[in-house]
Formats: sequence, C-alpha cells, structure tokens
Amino acid sequence: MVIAIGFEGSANKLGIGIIQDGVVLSNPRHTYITPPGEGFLPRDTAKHHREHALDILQAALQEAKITPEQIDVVCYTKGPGMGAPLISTAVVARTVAQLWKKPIVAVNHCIGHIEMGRLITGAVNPTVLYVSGGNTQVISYSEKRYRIFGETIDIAVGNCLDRFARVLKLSNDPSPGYNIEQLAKKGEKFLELPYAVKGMDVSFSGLLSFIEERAPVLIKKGEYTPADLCMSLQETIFAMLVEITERAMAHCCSQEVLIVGGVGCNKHLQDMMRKMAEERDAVLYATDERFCIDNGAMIAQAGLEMFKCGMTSPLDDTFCTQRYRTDEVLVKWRD
Amino acid sequence: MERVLIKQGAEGKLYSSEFYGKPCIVKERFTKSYRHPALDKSLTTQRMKAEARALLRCRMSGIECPALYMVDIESRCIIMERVLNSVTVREYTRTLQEKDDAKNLLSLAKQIGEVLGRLHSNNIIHGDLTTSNMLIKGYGENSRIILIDFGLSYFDSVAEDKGVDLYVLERAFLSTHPNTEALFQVILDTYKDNNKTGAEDVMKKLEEIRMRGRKRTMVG
Amino acid sequence: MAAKVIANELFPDSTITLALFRNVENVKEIRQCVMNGTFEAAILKTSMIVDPFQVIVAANKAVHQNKVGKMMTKNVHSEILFNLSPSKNISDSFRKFGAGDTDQSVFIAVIDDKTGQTLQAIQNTVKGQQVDVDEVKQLSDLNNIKKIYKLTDAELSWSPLDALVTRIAAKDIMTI
Repeated sequence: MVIAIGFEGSANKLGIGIIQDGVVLSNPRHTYITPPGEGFLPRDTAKHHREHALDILQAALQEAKITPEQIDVVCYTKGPGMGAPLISTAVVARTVAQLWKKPIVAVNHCIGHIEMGRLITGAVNPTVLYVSGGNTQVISYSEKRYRIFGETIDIAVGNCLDRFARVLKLSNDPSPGYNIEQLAKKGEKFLELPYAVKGMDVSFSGLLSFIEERAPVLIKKGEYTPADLCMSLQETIFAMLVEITERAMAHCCSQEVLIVGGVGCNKHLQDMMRKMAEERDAVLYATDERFCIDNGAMIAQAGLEMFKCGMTSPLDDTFCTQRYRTDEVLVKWRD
Repeated sequence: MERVLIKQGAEGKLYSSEFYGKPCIVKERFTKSYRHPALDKSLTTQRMKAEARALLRCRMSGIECPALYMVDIESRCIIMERVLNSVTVREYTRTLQEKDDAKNLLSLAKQIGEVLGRLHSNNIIHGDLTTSNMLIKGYGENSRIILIDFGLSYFDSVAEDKGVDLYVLERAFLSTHPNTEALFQVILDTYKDNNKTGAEDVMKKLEEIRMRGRKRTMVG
Repeated sequence: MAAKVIANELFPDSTITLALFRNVENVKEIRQCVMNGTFEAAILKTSMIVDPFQVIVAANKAVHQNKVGKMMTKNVHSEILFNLSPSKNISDSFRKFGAGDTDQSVFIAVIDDKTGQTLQAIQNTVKGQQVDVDEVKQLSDLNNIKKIYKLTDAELSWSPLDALVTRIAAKDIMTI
C-alpha cells in the first residue's frame, strides 16, 4: 500500500497528484494561460506556479482524503523542461519532503507520461508516441531503457501548433492546440504543405516557416480560411507522426501503440493513428486530457515505480535539469 | 505478371517478378487511409518520382543502383531491376561480425564511405540510409555496393541535409550493429576523401545535429 | 527467322510484336505505308537500338500511357518512337528514332497484332531479309547513342542498355 505524491511544473501546467498502488486518488492542475498571440515565458510561468502551489497541494490532499503522514514518497519532475518553472515546483516538493520527513524521487517528465499511459490504458509493451509542446519522440522499451527511435530534429509538434495558433491569434484557453483542433473540423480545402520525414525522424520548422509566411496572405486573398489552414496543418503533421510511428512499429514488430503528451489529446491524431494501427492488426491506446496533458499523478506513478526499486535521491541530488533525455534513465522496474 | 511477395513494410509491398524476361522488383506503395486523400496521392506520387529521378541521377553519377523499367503512377508501382546474387549490407555486416572478419569489415566501411561521398558530392540526398537499403554483390575484395530504396530522396546542395543523411545512417548503423563506432568512423573518413569540397561543412553539421539530440531543450 | 510476339506484362490481352529486317531496299515505301494507313507499326532506326529490350520498355510504356489517356502523340506506335527518344520534342523524336529513307535496315514494333495480319503485310512489303531481332545489337551506333542520350562514361561502362531503359522509364519525370 504505497502512496506517492507527484509534483509537475516543467511547462505552463502546475499539477500535483496522489496515487495509491495504481489508483489515482487526486490530480488537480492549474494552467498558466497567456493572452492570444502570446507564448508563455519562464519567469512569468514560475511566478504562476509559486502563486498556485499551495492551493493545488491542499486540493490534492483534500480530494484524496490523505494526510501527509500517510504519504510514503514525494516525487517531482527533475526535467526536462523550462528552468525557472521546474525549480519553483521542485522547491515545493523538497520543502514538503523535509517537513513530512519523506524520501524524494526525481522523475523524468517523459517517463512520467509513459508510465501513466501504461497504467491507465493497460498497454503492455507499446511503441510510444510522445507528443507535446516541448517533445516529439517515438519511444520503444528495450533492455532497461526507453529507447528513442525517432524524434523531431528541430521543434516539437506542439510547439509548431502553438506558434501557428499565435499567427491566427487563436485563444490559448484551454490550449492553443485544442482550438486549432476545433477550428480544423470546419476546414474543407486542403493546402499542400512541406512534408518532412527524414528516416525515422521528422522536421517541423520548414513547415512552420512555410505556413507562417503564407497564412496571412492566403487568408487575406480569400483563397483559404483559417479553418482550411488548421485542417491542412493537422493532416500534414499528424500524417508525419503516424508515419514515423508506423516505421518504428514495423522495425520493432510491435502490435501496440500508445500516444502520450498534450498533443495526444487531439482526437483527430488518435483517429489517424487508430486507422494505421487497425491496418496492421495492432491496437491503439490513448488517454484523455486528464492524463495526456502534464499532470502531477503521472510523476507520482513513475516515481512510485522508481521508489519500489529503491531509486530515491538524497536531498543534495534533487536538482532540476532543462535537458534530460528519455533514454538516460535506467528503467529498473521493467524486464 | 506473376508476382511473389518478398517483403511487406510500412510503405508498401515488394514483389519479385519478371519483366519481359528480366528479373525485376515491383514496389507497390499502399494508399494510407489515415492520410487526407489529396496528401496521400501527392506524397505517393512525389516519392515515386523521387525514386525514379534518384535512380537515374545515381546511375549517371557513377553510383550503382538498380535499372528502372517502369513507373506506373496510377497503380502506385515502380518496376526496377532485381539485383541478383546480392545481400543487404546489414546481413553482410552481421556475417562478417560473426566471423570476426576485421579485414573485410574495414574494407566494407571504406566502400560505404566511398559511395556516400560520391552520392553527396553529386548533391543526391538518399533520405533513408540504413544498412538494409544497401546491397552488396560479391565478397571481400571483389564486392560492390548498390544503393536501393530512394523513396525519400531528393537533390540538394545544402550541408545540413547531407549531415542529416549521415546522422540517420549513424543511428541506424549503431543500433543495428552494436560496437561499431570505430567502423562508422572509417565510413566518415573515407567519405571525406570522396566528397572533398563539401565534407568539412557536412561534418560540422553532423556534429551539430548529434548535439541537438543530446542538448535539445525539451519543455513540457 | 521468326518475329517475336510478346504478351504485355501489365495487360495480358495486349501483344507487342517485334521484327528486324536487314538489307532493306525500300524503307521509304514502308514508311509511306504507315503514313497512309496501309498498316500501323513503329518503323525504328536500328542504329539507335542496342537491344530489343529497349524497344520493349518503350512499347510497354506506350501501351500503358494509351490505357490511362496520357499519350503525347497521336497513336500508340508514334508514342513508341517518342518514348525511345530523350527529347520532349515530338518531331525531333520521329526524326532521330524513326527509320530514314536511306537506311538499310529497320526494326519494327507492332502493338496488338492479334491475327498477325499486320506482320504479314509488313513482311510482304519489305524488300529485305528478316533476321532474329537480337541481331540489332550488331547494328547499334554506340557513339551516336551516347551523344543523343547524353550517356555518361560511368553508365556506358556498366550497361548501355540499363542506362537507356532507365531514361526511357524516367523521361516524363526528369529532364536531363
């Protein structure tokens, strides 16, 4: 009966969640939303996290009906992510760990997503597509590591979507990606965009420059509506992601695919991936926005696995790092 | 035309057959139902054309590759020469590693470097370099490398793209053939000799791309 | 010496008939028969052909283009001439790859000569000797072929035939 609390704040979402032996007891979250046309900056994001940390912590404990004494381990996101937000969240985790006299586990954010995905969906050994504002990777587990098979060689797909949303001045509430998804549903006319799959990797910056340059002109001329452009963008970037995922599956002879990360909420991406999976007699696993989007419970879940293998960190080692590769972690808890 | 399925990948099916008496490969690309139909048609056509162009351009540049027999856009099929008496460099490398044949492994690495150097000095980007996309005919001293699978290829003089080409091969090579870092370095060294004007810039780009992987700011 | 009748690989009901004649005295007359519709055939310049397979690839392409409605010339036989040529200029293609009035040999290709009537008519018209189609190799002018197709030395050293068929297959996709 191990209970873990997880602290996540590597980007603009602050989440604190509590898990007990594979059951999510609470998972409150607050997102720092900027005005349309603007992205979020580290300093302001860290400020947001500091302002909401205690409220979210309280909510997490209350919802779970758990007292600090009952908690066995405190988990936090070591990285990757934005420096200031990561640190401001880590400070809270370190503080409560010392206050409550609990061990600390430093968790890799990506692995948090993967382990939560596996827990919630029951996928055994899937090829994982991890897509968010800061990451785009195709991952497959092999010999104690989450190996990166394919990834973006420049920007993450979520970043591409977010920046295009800014060009269109779409609202950032609840997230730019969500609003692109809704608008895309009304798109009818397909615009051909540069499609860049390079081996097992993808590239989005060329595509983004292309559409950033042309969008205002095309909309002004009345040749394409913002909905058409959103639709075209999604169709193209998602097709690229499905393609590299399929290649990894073919390479690893895998029959399961799991999508994690904020962009994984996108239903159209899920539909496309499902079609590809079905054609290969494989199964798609996906979660909903509670777990796709950064949250505290996922950190607790990964942390819990690590804790059970004795992978705690002494306080001196509980720093944060902006760059933290998924394959750097020794996945002791899997065969 | 009687066809025997020899491989089914993510892209499509590969059949072995005969084209008016010549042994051939038929590469039939799938329609992908997950793609928007306009995108699917465009991408498939683009890749078929890229493959055809690359086969011609390689041949003209002195890089061995299969002869092209037919491009059937409507049926999404390319028919090309089936290279007989050959194995993939992937299999060949495994065989040499099993036999601990250091001499021929070295020779192989040099050959690969030579072919790639020539490829890039002619501004042909393969786009999907792996040891499964290279065939080798013969053994040891008398062997020749034949490049195949040009579906993702294009022509460009930009060093970055050539760097990516080599990076893709490096990752594929090192993950498929463990403990071959030194061998891969031989490939790169020979490459430099065969792409004299461009190699320096390409190597710089390769290093940058390697670093990008390790030091990418991964946020969120 | 018999002509070669080959079934089309993609369209099994279609056929390609090949025939080679040497010591021909009346190329002009043969060409006129085609022009006035006495029979339909591609009358090819033997010096531009290295191997019957080269013609087969061009003919195969012509039949396919006809089926999908993408021919550039008026009929499938003129399309064979056009396909053989590296040039996008139709008249230039006919001039360089069609047999000339003063030529002493002709390579014939006929599509869908189901009953063999066309071949018969041609055999009756030609004042010359029908030989095995493979003999065309003896009649190729490699220097001229190299020049017109712009073959590189590398290509020549491996296989002129492979170089030619690759160009024929890739012609509409790439300009050299």
